[in-house]
Amino acid sequence: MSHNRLSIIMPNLLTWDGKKPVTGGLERYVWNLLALLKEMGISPDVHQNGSFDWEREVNGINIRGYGMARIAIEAAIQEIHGNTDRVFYASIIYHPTLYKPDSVVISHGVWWDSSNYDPVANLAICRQALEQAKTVVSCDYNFLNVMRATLPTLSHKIEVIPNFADLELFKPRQALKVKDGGDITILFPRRLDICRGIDLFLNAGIRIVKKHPGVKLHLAVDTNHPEFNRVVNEYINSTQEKNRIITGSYSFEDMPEVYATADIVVIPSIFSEGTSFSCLEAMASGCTLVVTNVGGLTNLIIDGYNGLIIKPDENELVHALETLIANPRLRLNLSRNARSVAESFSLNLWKERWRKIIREVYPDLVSPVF
Amino acid sequence: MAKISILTTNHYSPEGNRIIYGGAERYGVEFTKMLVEMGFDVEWWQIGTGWESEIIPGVKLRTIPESEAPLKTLPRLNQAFYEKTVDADLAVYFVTFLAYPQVKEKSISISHGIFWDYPGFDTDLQTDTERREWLRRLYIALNGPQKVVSVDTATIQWAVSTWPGLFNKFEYIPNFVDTEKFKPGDKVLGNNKVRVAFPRRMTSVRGINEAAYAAEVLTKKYKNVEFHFIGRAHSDELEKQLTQWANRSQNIYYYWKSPEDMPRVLVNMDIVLIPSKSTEGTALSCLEAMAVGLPIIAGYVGGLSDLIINGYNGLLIKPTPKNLVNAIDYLLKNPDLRQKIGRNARETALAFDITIWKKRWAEVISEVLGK
Repeated sequence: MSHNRLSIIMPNLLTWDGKKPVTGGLERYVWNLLALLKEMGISPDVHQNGSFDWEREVNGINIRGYGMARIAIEAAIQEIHGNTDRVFYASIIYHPTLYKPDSVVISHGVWWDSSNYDPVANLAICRQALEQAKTVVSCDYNFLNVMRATLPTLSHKIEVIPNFADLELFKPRQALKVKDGGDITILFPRRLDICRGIDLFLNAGIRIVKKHPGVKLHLAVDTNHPEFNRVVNEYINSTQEKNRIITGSYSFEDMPEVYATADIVVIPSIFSEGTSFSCLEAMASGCTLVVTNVGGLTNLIIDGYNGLIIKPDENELVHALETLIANPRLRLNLSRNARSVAESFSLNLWKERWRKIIREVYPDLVSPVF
Repeated sequence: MAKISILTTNHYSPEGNRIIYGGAERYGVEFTKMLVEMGFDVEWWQIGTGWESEIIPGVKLRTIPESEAPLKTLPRLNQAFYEKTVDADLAVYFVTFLAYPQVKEKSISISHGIFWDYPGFDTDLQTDTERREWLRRLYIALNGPQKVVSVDTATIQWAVSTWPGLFNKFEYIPNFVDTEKFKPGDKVLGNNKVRVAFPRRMTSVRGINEAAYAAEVLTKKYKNVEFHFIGRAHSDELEKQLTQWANRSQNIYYYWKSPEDMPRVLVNMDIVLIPSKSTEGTALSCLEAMAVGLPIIAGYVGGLSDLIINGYNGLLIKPTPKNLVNAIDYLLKNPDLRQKIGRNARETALAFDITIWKKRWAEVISEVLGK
């Protein structure tokens, strides 16, 4: 075992059979983190849930899947703890566990802010992480606020590092200017997960498309659950507006182009939201944003300055979209400010903030800086 | 003319003598002016021995001699208010817990931010039973009114993470600033010094001790840096101590000014500290400093993250003494950055102009009154 090995523990960087990468914000986050750790002279590997025991190397990173997860996640984590020395938890563990004490845990935002969850049980899950780990890094300020309001004596363990956008990949294709007339494309760049508000987007979007012949909807969605795509596509095909509703699934490399062709981007999360990559990338691309007042989105958008903030409500979304369609000048101002705010969320700043935390928590793994 | 009755705890002190214009009191004044402009008949109620006063000329403030506050709630005050305001068309509970246990048929409450997020709160409600009972009462208070207007998104997130069903109760109306009154201007004091201001109430939750520590460290390090502590403390004695403390250092000042004087004071400042540790909403002092175009160093607490985007229009820090010193030092060494984030602060402040605040409030009130 390498003397400067740091083992990342997470649910699934690859699918449980180890065959292909999983698409999602957490997974993107971890790939960037792995690159940063390597830059710092640390040798990272990844330990995750598996449908059987396997070991793969992807992009030079050793990844191990633990079949024990099929029986009990907590047992898989126990096995991982036995196989590793210094560890790093890429997300809060939802199962009873004993975190290794000199470790970092990342919180990607409050996930239980919906009636489907038991607040008491989920707060206990957070308490476990705050009590046992050394530092909890939160991607937004609202998780921190919830913890401070619930467990004030533990919240000093929290450091905030908001998510980032790659400002070179995601940028306006040309100087932003007033777009008066012409078609307007409204983009939904999220996974097909109930928390991400696909229903809200489609219901409001179709009302807008019915009324405005020049408006198109574009859904850039994942294919993690093909049955969800089938349901959504069937629904779209049953509408009269189907020709003006485009759906696609894109690789990360294609996303800059997807944003570049969008005028308005909607992030209609209903619950479980942090500082969304989609939101940050749309901002960096100079799109005009409509977001909900859920989770960390309010840490990225100031209502009326660099986007519009609404409640996750169909009428409010329709109203916001109508306002933007009618006001090209407002769209321009919001999108310009969105780009300039995004510059405070650069990948470099994110790395700089992480380097500081990693040096503090894992001083033994980092080569000294002279 | 529809009548609005507003219940608060203490706009004036219960004896009616010591007047401190903190953020909530100023909110109350602007709120009253707005309601009067909208044509409502307004009256206020608070704790007191029976004296009467005015909150603004022509708007009465009456008192109710009920100050018993079991488990940080005021059920007897709430009940007396309910009985005394039979003629009200709409009740506004100026603090969320005042809506416990009973609300008027048409009612709104206002959350000025999370106020229980400091470790000391645990000693106020020492047992699990007390804590649970307090939460139960808070739930009743939040669930009663048709709308809870929250000045920040932190409170909404906490409430929804505790009781998901409350989501639709909340309306987010961030605090306001008059960007005509608070705007960049010329310094009277000149540019020979860099002036750091702490324009807050002088209390621990606002980070007074961290700021005082930073003032001592940095005035020793730099001869051209001044610290201005501008605001009232909780008592005459504390204010006297602060004056004595400030008098010991040549470049540390302590004084206070009326809200009307603050625009011309702030334009002379170069950096503003809002290093709150807890109990914070969308601080008026933060918005005012933003509107003047000043770079702000804010604690990452409560509603401040609704106003400040770290590195864009201010710095958002974990409010430890060391972090505060480092952040001030960083801005002292980077005048260009101060300029840039100060400009962005002014730009973002325009999105919180008082005219927008009034428009949002008008929508909520008409929704609840149902025209």
